[in-house]
Amino acid sequence: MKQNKHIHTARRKMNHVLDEIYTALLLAGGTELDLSIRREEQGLRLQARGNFLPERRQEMERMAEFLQPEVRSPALVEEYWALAGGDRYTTDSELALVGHMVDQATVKVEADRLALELYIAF
Amino acid sequence: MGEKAKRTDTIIFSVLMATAGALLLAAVIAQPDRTLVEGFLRIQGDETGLITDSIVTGGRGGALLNAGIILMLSTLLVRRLKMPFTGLSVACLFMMAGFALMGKNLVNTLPILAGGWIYSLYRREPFSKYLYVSFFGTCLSPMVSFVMNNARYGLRGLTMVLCGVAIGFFLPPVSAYTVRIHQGYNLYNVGFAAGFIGLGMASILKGFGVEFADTSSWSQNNGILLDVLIWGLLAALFVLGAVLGCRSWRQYRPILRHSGRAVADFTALDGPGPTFVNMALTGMLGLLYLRWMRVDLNGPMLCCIFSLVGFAAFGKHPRNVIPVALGAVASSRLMGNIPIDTPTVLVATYLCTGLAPIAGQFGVFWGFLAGFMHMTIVQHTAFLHGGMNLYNNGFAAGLTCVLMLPIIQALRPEPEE
Repeated sequence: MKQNKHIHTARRKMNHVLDEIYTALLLAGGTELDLSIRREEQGLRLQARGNFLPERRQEMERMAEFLQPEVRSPALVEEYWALAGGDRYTTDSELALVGHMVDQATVKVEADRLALELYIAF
Repeated sequence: MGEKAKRTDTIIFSVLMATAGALLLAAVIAQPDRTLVEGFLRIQGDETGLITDSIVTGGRGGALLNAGIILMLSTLLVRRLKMPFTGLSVACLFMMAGFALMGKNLVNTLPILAGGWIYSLYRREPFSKYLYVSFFGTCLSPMVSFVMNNARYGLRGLTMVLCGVAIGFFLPPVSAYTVRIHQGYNLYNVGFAAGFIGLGMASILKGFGVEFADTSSWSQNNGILLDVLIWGLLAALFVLGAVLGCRSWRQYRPILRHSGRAVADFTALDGPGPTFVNMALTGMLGLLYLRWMRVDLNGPMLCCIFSLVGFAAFGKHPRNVIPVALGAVASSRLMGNIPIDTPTVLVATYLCTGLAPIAGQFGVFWGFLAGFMHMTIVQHTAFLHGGMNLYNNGFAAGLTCVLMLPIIQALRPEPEE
């Protein structure tokens, strides 16, 4: 019962994370995005690959920084996670929020391509 | 935790503890005799309301002692729970200190924190997840004081604790819900949530025939000590920011490009240096307005400056604060029934800046209008919760968002990509 409740929360969080990630990539001029989600025993794993305009590389590197913070704040997530995604005036601060929401993140930025893997535990 | 994060964490912790130390030192300077402790104790048992100046209740020393102790204990609790110190920590803990000069005390905040702790046990989650909501939730502490002072003899302790625990228990889910209503454009989200809980509780009490008396107080002629304290604090923040690397306009400017919409943790987005400089500049702006209005610093005004400075680490900066505050001032200038130098209006002029993200995201015009509307709405919200929500401006700001955001989004063109 307890685990089901956590699955439910993780699924809702993943919805918001997805929204934020694909919006960021599309805003950076992406034309091809591959998103895949795997449900694992202990959590949900999102893998994303996509391209972007080479002149937007700095933004992507900043996104990579936000998604991999040195320290995560569960207290911040508890109150604000519902704000990630869904706003059509998205700012990079919401990507920082996503960085706090996920439990693990690996982001690789190349000249005009990006690959990331995010994990939300149940 | 990496080296950089550890360093930021230590710096923020030290700043908060030093601020608490400065408040305690100022308390001793203000009242270097036994009246200090007497004043402090009087504050603990006093009935508080929307604008209750702790200086009137316990003297300058007693009020500063109350603020210093609350800030120090809150900071140590964050440390004890091994939580990282972030921009949200600064905002939250400065609000704790500020409102300890305008209604919060140890006795009326502890039952609410206990309620948050019990909620965390119920959810089987660590208390650290709910600590900030619980800290902000102490804005309903006047309700606890009210029950403590007005319940039947013999039941006062019990009813006070039950009231505080109920507030702390129910606030986390309500505040997680209200954040979706204003979409992060109201920085005082828990104030908005607390307004609804206060409304519910006050309505029940009014149903039983309870009446909420006005307990407002406002001190004047407090001497130079409070000025020295706050200007000293802001100067120290500015110097610290410069030492940490923010020494030019080019290094400070990135902060101004953020809309301020939650979650805008400036310590994480731009580093502690620019954040401390921003806190100092935003606070100085607030103090200059006070000078211009020829208003003396007192408990509520110091509280407003503290909340302005604290949230300058989590969303506020001069570019998004000024349009909203100007809108609020214009509103009180234009409308005869809102005199600009009354306590309610002065406090609202500062605290309407919880709507700063509207100016940051949608521009000066909408920010101005938000401040204008806020000032009119806030005049009519206090009676809803019987004046029991110290963040009445957070409640009004949330209502302003409900009114304005759909209109702004309907009238503005789609953003260009």
